[in-house]
Order: sequence, then structure tokens, then C-alpha cells
Amino acid sequence: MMAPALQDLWKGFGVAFEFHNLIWSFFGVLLGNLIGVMPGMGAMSAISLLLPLTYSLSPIPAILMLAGIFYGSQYGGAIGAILLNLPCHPPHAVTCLDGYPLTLQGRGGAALGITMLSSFFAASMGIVVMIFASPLLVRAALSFGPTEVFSIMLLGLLAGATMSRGPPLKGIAMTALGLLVGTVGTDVNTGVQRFNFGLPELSEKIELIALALGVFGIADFLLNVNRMKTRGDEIRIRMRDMRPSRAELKRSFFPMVRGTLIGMLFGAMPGTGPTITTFVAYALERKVAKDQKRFGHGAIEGVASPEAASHAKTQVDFIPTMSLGIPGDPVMALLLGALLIHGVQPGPQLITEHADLFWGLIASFWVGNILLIILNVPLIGIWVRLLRVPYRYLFPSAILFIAIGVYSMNNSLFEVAEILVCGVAGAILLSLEFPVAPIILGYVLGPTLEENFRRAALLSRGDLMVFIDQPISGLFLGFSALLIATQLLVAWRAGAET
Amino acid sequence: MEKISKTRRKLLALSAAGLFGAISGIGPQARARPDTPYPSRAVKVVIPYLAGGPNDITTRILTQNLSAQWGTPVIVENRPGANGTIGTMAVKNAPPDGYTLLSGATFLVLNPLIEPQPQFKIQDFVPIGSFGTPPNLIVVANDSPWTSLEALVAAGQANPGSLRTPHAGIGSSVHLGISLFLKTANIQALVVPYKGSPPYVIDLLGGRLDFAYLSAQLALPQIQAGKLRALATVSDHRLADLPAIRTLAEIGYPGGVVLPWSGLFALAEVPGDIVDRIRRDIGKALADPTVAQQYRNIYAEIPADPAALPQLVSAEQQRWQKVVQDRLIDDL
Repeated sequence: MMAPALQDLWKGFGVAFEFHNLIWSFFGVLLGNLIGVMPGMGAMSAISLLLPLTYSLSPIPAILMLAGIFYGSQYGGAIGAILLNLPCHPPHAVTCLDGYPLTLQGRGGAALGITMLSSFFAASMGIVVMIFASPLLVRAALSFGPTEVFSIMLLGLLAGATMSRGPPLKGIAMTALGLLVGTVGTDVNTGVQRFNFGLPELSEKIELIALALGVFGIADFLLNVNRMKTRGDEIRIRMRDMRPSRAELKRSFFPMVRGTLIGMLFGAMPGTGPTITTFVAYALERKVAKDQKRFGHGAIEGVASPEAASHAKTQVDFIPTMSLGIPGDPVMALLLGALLIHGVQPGPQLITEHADLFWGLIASFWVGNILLIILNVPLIGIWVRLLRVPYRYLFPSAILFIAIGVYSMNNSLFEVAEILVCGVAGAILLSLEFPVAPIILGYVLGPTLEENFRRAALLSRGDLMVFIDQPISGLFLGFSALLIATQLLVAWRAGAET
Repeated sequence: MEKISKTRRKLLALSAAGLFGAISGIGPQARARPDTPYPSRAVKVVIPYLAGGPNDITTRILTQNLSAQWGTPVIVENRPGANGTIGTMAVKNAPPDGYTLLSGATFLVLNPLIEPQPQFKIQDFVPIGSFGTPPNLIVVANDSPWTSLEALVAAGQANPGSLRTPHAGIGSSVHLGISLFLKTANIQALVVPYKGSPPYVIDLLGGRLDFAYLSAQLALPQIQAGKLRALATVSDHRLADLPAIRTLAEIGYPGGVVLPWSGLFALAEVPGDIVDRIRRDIGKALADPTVAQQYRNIYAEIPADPAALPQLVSAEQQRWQKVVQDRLIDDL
């Protein structure tokens, strides 16, 4: 089993290193990396824009380039989150929580370094899993039905509800708010419009990127706009602060591994987005930490784990897409469409019929990730210098880029307005000392929970015992019960002591 | 030699004009002068769905060829939302100069019939020409006990409510098709709603659903790999890739045949000569072997007469009006 896979992979490297393919792959990751740094601009718009360009290419360079845009865009996403509290892509919103405090402490460069390391580690592990465990993961993907997805998501929600610093009650309130915001849109089961106030634009839900950029980036800007000064003044930038210290590396290792594993688990569940993955990874990391109080004040673990999760998820996502031929999200659907136009049949036969393409793609993942890390590590110093730009320039230019980026998602001005509304709401909440991260958690988990709960209940014809009877689902529900029990116990003890 | 450089020069001039048009075309003041031949600048085609979604790839194959024919860029703009209404409204509010076109489908006919406050009428638009669309198939997992549609129908009739089948969203061709099929075949089944088709393929392969209406684009790779089995083709003729699979009408359920279609539309006020020009060029595009091959690659059927879109639309209009009036589909 092992040897043929390695042999195929070797051939794959041959394909990936062909000059033509290498150039296109490099172009893809470079472009993806740039898009990743731009707030709001997603891989989706870039890929759909460049799709026509690939019609004249042969399928292999075409797919290497398009895939490169997709995973390349993941690399840049954390930069804004860590340095400017600006989640350029929703999955990195959770990285703001500890990444930005690290920047304020002058450890932004180190946090970026850890991000790059965990990204590379997680992506590599994801690729290894793709090479050796694809059939296993496909079987896992098929066994995750709505029942299982619901129970796993419920655990994620419970773990995450109290993930922010401050009083737990405020965190829970904000999670509930997020769940409510998530109900806006068209009900999948009946087609009924919920809370759209007669605006057809709201029928497709509130845009996640608008919510994330609004409550993090814009809200923070709005609160700080009176304090016109250079961020760099308050933050000393020294070259030796760019590199993660030995202690930071050591503290990041296990969070990185745990984040990678969570990313892989969620990668096997098509339909669960990357934002859910990173938030759950963060919440879990906080739960297993010995000293939870450090989280939210610049705990490097809170950067390493979600970043690893996001990259592992990205790579593992390719497995159901490539070997089942069933796209897990719209970007994957677009990639599959591109393959189809080129006459390449994605699906179970892809690996046997287009072995060169499949293994070439896997090899190019590795080549691409190495290129990305070579590209990004020297750039860290330059990114950190961004902080020296006076706030009065930084703020308006960031707003401009956000507006352009979010507009490019659906070519719609309405979504630009959404950011502003979310930003004002976020600023009000922040000034009342409510944590905003749980809003996003509730928002991403709510619709997934609801959809899967109702689907599972329909499929079982209303028998709710199905959630306990199914072994995987029952196991995760058990974890959830345990979590609530320990939480109550802690609260009761705290109450008894005072 | 002479000729080539001439066409190239023309192409360059046209694309420069197109680029300029794309830049200046933001405001409504930028209209084509009546004396310049269409298209003198970039043409925008709005796809009212997410990139990668239904109608996206099929439209892009066409626009790619139109762009080459016209020597101007044809820009695809995805404006998803409200089951096609957002993108449709974007076209409705554009100047009626033929430079903003709509990639339409069943929703264009259906939404005005089912929305409480319809935002547009089908009469707001003029159908130009139809292009390739993959039809649906009725499929089961390969380890399913049913090897024919008759056996599946018999099982469904014997145990009302026992069969589980998905739909891809209210108003989708899968939703309309499965609802009408169940009605004509007199089966009571559990219909489970999904957002689009890909997620239910996983539940079908995983054994949590019994059968499904599924686009040939998603179904055929699985059928050829032996993961799914086709029981019927939901079309008026058999597919070249599945010559042994009978059509739903052949099996005796013509009422369950819902054919997805896609076509290019312009605003009703667009001058007739522009509409005729585009209609003719769609016909040329579909006759192009490269385009035909690309549609074959995604298992899309090319319409026999692309110019017959107006007739198709009015037939659809009558059909869905009756379905909605007679409440033949509960969720509509």
C-alpha cells in the first residue's frame, strides 16, 4: 500500500517540477498570497476571474494554478488579524483574539512566525493524510451524516460559548446574539424569508466577511479613531523580536498538533466551513489550557492552534472533492467546474484515470507550500513595519481596501453597507465591554446546527433518540454533557468559596 | 498574412474600445451610439448564482465563445441571492442597451408566480437564445435493492412514506421534478430539503437517502465509477452516455419530467436588431465543435434549436402557472 503511493508521489513531483507547471503553480500561490493579505477579497472571486485564462491551458497547469490561489490565500489571512486586528478572511477572525494583543506587546513578528510554522506543519500533515489515508477519509466523510455533524457542532458551540475573556454570561449572551444573526435569510426547509425586513439582499444571509470585518476591524477602528497616532510608537519594533523565542516555540507545539487534528476532522466533514474549524480549535485549546486566563491577552497557543486548523482543513478538503467528486464548498465547486471544462472527470475514477494530474496536484501542494513559506518569512519584517504607518493614513486606506474587497465578493454595494452597520454595532458592544468573537461563533455554527438538526430529525422521522443511538453522535453528545457538568461544578465551587 | 494582421488590428482596437467601455460603463450616461455596430464595448452577463453553482459553468462556456466572436470582452458577473432575484434585478435596473444580459433559467418564470411581492415579470425580459444544460437523472446508490424504477415505485406505493429522497432547494429543478414525479407516480415519500445538490450526494452514498433526482453533471462520474446506479433519465430522449437508461416518459411518468434549461435574456426594451444579432451568434457558438465538446464534458445537452427559447419560455410559463394555481406542489 505504502510503496505504490510513494512511487506515484515521486512521479507526481516529476509533474509538479515540469517548468511549465511550476511557473503556473508559482503564479497561483503568489496571487493567492496577495489576495490573502487583501481584506475581504476571497479566493472565490480571484478564481472565477482567472477561470477564462485557463481555457487555453492544458488541465494540469490550470488546476495547479487555481488550487494554488486557494491554498495560497490562506497564508496571508492571518497577517491583518495579528497586526491590525483586521480579519482579512473570516477563518482568521479568531486569530485576532490573541494575535493582536501579542502585537500590542511587541510580539507581532513572533506571532506571524508561529503562524507560518503552524501553517506549514498543518498543510504538510494534511498532504501526508491525502497521500496515505484518502480512502479512509472518504469512508469517514460518508459516515458523517446530519446526526453526527449536529452533535459535533453542538460540542463546538458549548466549548466556544465561554471562550472569550470577561464574564461568561456576557460571552453566552453574545453567542446567543450570533445565533440570532445567523437565522437571517431563507429557511432551507420551507423557503420562508426570516428577518429580512423586506430586503431581498438579506435573503442570502448576512455576509460572514462583513460581520467579521465589521465587529473586529471596523469596530476597533471606530473606537480608536480619536487616538490618532502611530501604532508603531507604542510598539517597539526590534529585529530580535521578529523571531519566535524558544519558549514560544515550545508552547506552540502541542496546540499546533491539536489544531492540525481538528482541521483534519473538519476536513472530513464536507459542508463545515473553515471558520467553524478555527473557532472550535481555539475554543478547545482554551479548554485544555492549564491557565485559561492568559487567553485573550496574547497567548501564543491561541494563534498556533486555529492557524494550523485552518490550513489542515484546507488541504484535507481536497480529499472529498477530488476523490468523491463532490465539492465541499463553493470554491471547490468552481475548481471541479474548471476540471470538467477541461474534460477531466473529477470523482472516484480521477486517481486511476488521471494519475498524473492527481499526484501532480498533491506534489504541487508541497512545492507550493514551500514556496509560500520562503516567500512569507522574509516578508514578516515588512508587514510589521506597516505598523509604523501613521494611523491617519492606515485607517482610511484599510477602509478603502475593505470596501473594495467586500464589494468584489458579490459585486454588491449592499454588503459594503453591511460592514458599516456591523462595525457600528460592534463598536457599541465593545464599548460596553461585550466580547465580539462569540457573535461570529454563534453566527457560523447556528445555521449549520439548525440545518443538520432538522435534517436528522426529518430522516429519523422525528425520533430524537437517533442522536444518542448513533455511536459517533452519542459520543460527542456525551462530551457535551460532560462539558456542561464540569462547567456547572466549577461555577458551584466558585460560588461556595465566596 | 495581410488579412491576419488586419483582423488582429481590428481585434486590438475592439478590445481597447471594450476596455474603455468597461471603465466608462459604470455610469448610465455611457450608452452605445446608435450608429456603431453592436457590440462596440464590453458586454456584461449577469449570472444570478454563485460561481461554480448551477448555470455558472454552462454560461461561461457560451460567453467565452461570444467574446471571441465579437472581439470584445464578455464579462461574467455573479450576483447570487434570493433564488436569482438579486441578479435579475441588477439587469432590470441596467440601461436597456444590450450591454447587460442575464443568464436565466426556470427561476425567471417561477419567481414571479410564487413570490408574495414579485419584483419582476417575465415580460420585463426578451428571451434571446438557450444553451447547454445538464438534465437530471433518477439515481440510487449502487448497493440499493432497486434495479429499476418500476421496483422503486412499487416499493414506494407498498409502504407509503418509507422512501427518503432529497431536494436541492425550493424552486430548483430537483424540487419541482421530484415533487411532480412523486405525484404522478402516486408515491408518498419523505422529501428532505438540502442547500444545493452536492451535500445530498454524500447522504445518498452513505445510505441515508434511498433515491434522488440528480444533475447528470454530478451523477455521471459516480455512475461510471459504480457508486451510483441510474434508474431513469429525466429528459425527452435518452442520453448518449447512458443509452440503456430509459427516459421517465418511456417508463410511463411523463408528468415527472422537469427539464432544466438556461438561456440568455435581454431587457424587453433592447432594440430588436441587437437581440437578433446575439441570437444568431449563440447559434454559431453552439455549432462550434470546441463549445460542443466543452458542453459534452459537463454532460450538458445542447438545445436542438437555441433560437426557440421564446417558445420554451412561454410553454414553461403555462406549465408552472398551472402547477402553482392547482397547488400541485405543496411547498410552492
